[in-house]
Amino acid sequence: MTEHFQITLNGKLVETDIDSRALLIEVVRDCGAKGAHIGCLTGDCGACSLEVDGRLAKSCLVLAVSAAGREVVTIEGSRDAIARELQSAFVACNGFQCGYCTSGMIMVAIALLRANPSPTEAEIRNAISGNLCRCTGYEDIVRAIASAADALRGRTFERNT
Amino acid sequence: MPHSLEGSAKGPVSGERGGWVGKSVRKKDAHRFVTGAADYAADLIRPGTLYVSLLRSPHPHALIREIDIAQASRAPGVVAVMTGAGIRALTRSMPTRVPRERFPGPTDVWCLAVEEVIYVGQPMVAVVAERQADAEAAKSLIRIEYELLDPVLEAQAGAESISPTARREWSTNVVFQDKIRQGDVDAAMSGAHCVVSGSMRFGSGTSAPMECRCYVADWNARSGRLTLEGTMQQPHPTRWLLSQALDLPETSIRVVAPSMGGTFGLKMVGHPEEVIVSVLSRHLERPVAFLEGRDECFLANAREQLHEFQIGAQADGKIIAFRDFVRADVGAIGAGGGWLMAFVTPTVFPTVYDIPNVAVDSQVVTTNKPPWQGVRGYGKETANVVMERAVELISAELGMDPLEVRRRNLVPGSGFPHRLPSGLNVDSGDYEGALDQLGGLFESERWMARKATPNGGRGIGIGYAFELTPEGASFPGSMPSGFETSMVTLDPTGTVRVATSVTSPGSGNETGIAQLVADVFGLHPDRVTVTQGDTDITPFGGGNTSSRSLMFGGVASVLAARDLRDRIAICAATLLQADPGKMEFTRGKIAVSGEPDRSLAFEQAVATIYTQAYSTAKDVELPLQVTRTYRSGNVRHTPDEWGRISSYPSFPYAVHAAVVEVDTQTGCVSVLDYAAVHDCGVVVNPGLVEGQFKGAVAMGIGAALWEELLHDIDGSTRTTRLKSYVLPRSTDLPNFRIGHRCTPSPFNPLGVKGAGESGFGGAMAAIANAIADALGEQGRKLARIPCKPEVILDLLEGGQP
Repeated sequence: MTEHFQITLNGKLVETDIDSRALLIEVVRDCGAKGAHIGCLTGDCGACSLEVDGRLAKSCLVLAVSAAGREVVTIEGSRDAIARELQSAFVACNGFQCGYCTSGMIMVAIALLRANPSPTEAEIRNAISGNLCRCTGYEDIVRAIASAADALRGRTFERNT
Repeated sequence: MPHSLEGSAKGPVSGERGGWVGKSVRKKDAHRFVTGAADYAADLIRPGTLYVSLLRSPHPHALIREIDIAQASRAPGVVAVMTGAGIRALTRSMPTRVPRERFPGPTDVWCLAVEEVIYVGQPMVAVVAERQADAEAAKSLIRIEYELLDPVLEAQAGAESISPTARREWSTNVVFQDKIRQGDVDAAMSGAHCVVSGSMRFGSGTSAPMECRCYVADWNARSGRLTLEGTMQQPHPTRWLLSQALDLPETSIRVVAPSMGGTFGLKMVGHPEEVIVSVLSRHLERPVAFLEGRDECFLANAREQLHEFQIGAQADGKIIAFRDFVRADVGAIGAGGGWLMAFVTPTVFPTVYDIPNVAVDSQVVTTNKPPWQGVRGYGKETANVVMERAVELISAELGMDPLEVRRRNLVPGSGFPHRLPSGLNVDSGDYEGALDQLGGLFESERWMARKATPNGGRGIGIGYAFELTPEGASFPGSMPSGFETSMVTLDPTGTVRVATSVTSPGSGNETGIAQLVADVFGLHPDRVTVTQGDTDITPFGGGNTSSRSLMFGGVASVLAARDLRDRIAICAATLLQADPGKMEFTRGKIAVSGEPDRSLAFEQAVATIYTQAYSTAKDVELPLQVTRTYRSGNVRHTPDEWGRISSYPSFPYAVHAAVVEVDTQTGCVSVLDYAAVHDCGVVVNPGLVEGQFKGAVAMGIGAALWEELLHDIDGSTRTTRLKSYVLPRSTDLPNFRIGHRCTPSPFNPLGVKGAGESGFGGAMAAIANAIADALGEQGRKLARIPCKPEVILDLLEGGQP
């Protein structure tokens, strides 16, 4: 069965007919946001992490029809200062190898740094514990997020003084 | 010759100007991966592509009596339903690597089961539909009648002559048996001061990359040409396989591997789906995609082995004898080479130790479980775990410090090259130096003090382990048997293109190759583009296996680049009125040695060759494109006086220290601290190599503690999700302190050894030793990996798990 479907995806209104069985990750990818990845479809790996109405979600656990009318942001639409700082820190710290988990990791890190600009290492490890990485052993991801947080705080400090 | 083709082992880098080798250059195209712009296989599926879903066998061993596809064929969205009988009319069987001279067979493997199924999960019927969900839904409408046959689900029983066989036509389940002998083990054991025996059973494990497999085939009926895009770390061998299975010349097949979301061995050649999508696309004349589900990704066994070992030593701690019997359950025989891992394990003994008397017997048994698929470690990890447990046990028996026993038995730095009993020729190493270096990195005294403090039911354990990880597998009879090829091209504007047969699974070897080639020309690595994973563009080679990318593909690239540099030097020398042997390539310029003012831009020399081919550059051989292959000088396929060959050229090693805390109430283990010293010879990109090593350690910790594929008594895989096959998460791991040493390989022109697998086996062994240490006397009975809570609780209760 197909349904007419409408969301705002990375700032653009998208209208399409979708299979009513489809998951949000599948529809988002079909609409061109291929930066969100499918790793398990059971909510275990977090490669499909994105934002729905400003809240972090594992989009393989969301039926697309239930997200109708909402605002969805994937890695492609994440362009604020936090996202950019995280992206350069992931490059500088070797925070990825194959890159498959990276967009999900960065989406989680964006949500973390918005809520907590000065996370401890334990808080960072907790925040990304729902996301699996098979390449790095996490250390360089944790370092990347901490270093982005440092840089962002430094910038805030500069602005305030 | 102005430039030597063989770099010296001691100073392989300093010979080249520019000095990018040895620097942690950022990964090429890194921004694409952090912005979501990298294309993985599933991202390339075009509109109009059909999807295939596979109905897999629910039985471990059965005859297929009848298949009724009528209802499924009429289901919504379904375009075609293909059975094994249908496939047989359209393809040939897939080539296998099982040695016919040892195993009588037959070993014909079809991409869809024909008449007989031999494991739960074997593809039987392919449903093709406009949408993935339609294909999946239609599978429930297929009716199949089976005649159940006795399955073989356990290797020991399967090896007996009275056992039923895993395939009806087979006369035995024993695929392979081998004996490795050095010295006289019986005599040495009976003369030893003390002898200890033990066993170790390894559960099945898998690589579980974050990206599951995906293949997209597109048959172009107008040109009669097939393109297969997907998760393939060995594009050329896949083209070879398709050529045979589809009965098409290689020129009619293009295999393309885009960015890969990890593989760790899983995405090697030989999966039935590579053929299924290809034949369906040719048959239906439309693109066909297979997207593997995570549950299907777990139909990939490996590592399931039982070892029974014995070790004997003199009173002074000198180990004089070691013997091991290893039986591997390699599951069903497929077209892949995963079962070869069982063949590799025995060849690694006795790892880093100099033991005069060694006997290893091995038996490889096929059963009705899913076939083995390649996984990091490739069989070497289990040998290292067994060796390190044996050393711990003999140390305890001797009442000596296990580190001291290790020290007394390490192959000395002066003892290289060192021949292992299997014939492998260990190139170089500094094991004792690594052990000393680990002492500076790991705070053993702090942890010994913490261990001595009573801690309410939580036992601290400290474990050490060496690992020897042979790399660069070059097996006789394999396609290919261990060489890689690179083609380097200089374009008119002076950009450098490298097309190489090695592929990158995400490890960053393309960046390392760019650094190596940049140094040859004295250019910035950004001016070097590296193309991989396309059989129409890249020369022939094996791809990405056995940490071969830089030690083979890197060397081939450097050899080709040096040939080109010699040509550029001829032209530059003419323009500068100097001797071609005195040209120095540095910082984008070519200068006369010792006269930096007499120089010209690199691109000027290149442009002159393109534009003045009949005058200034008439002595320069054209085109500015050179293809070179590298074969290792440390691989020997002609048997030595003991009949042994040597199929691995490179021997990185590491020594690890781990601290664990065991909760004696729950059996749960936490890893508190980790340090290791790693030596893979000359390091091209330290950041990328350290990343690989830390990833391997993380994977080894997972394999030692949590990761295990479980099978029900009917042979079905019970661990079908990441909830039941438990990978390490960010909160499960500590930070790792890594030290590096460098003993260049004297056999490799760049001095490099393989990097990528090292860390895995050592971590498994160090964690096992740490747990045994935490459990004290009970720990000596540790005989099961992974050390899941139930294994530890059984040990604490005095049972034999």
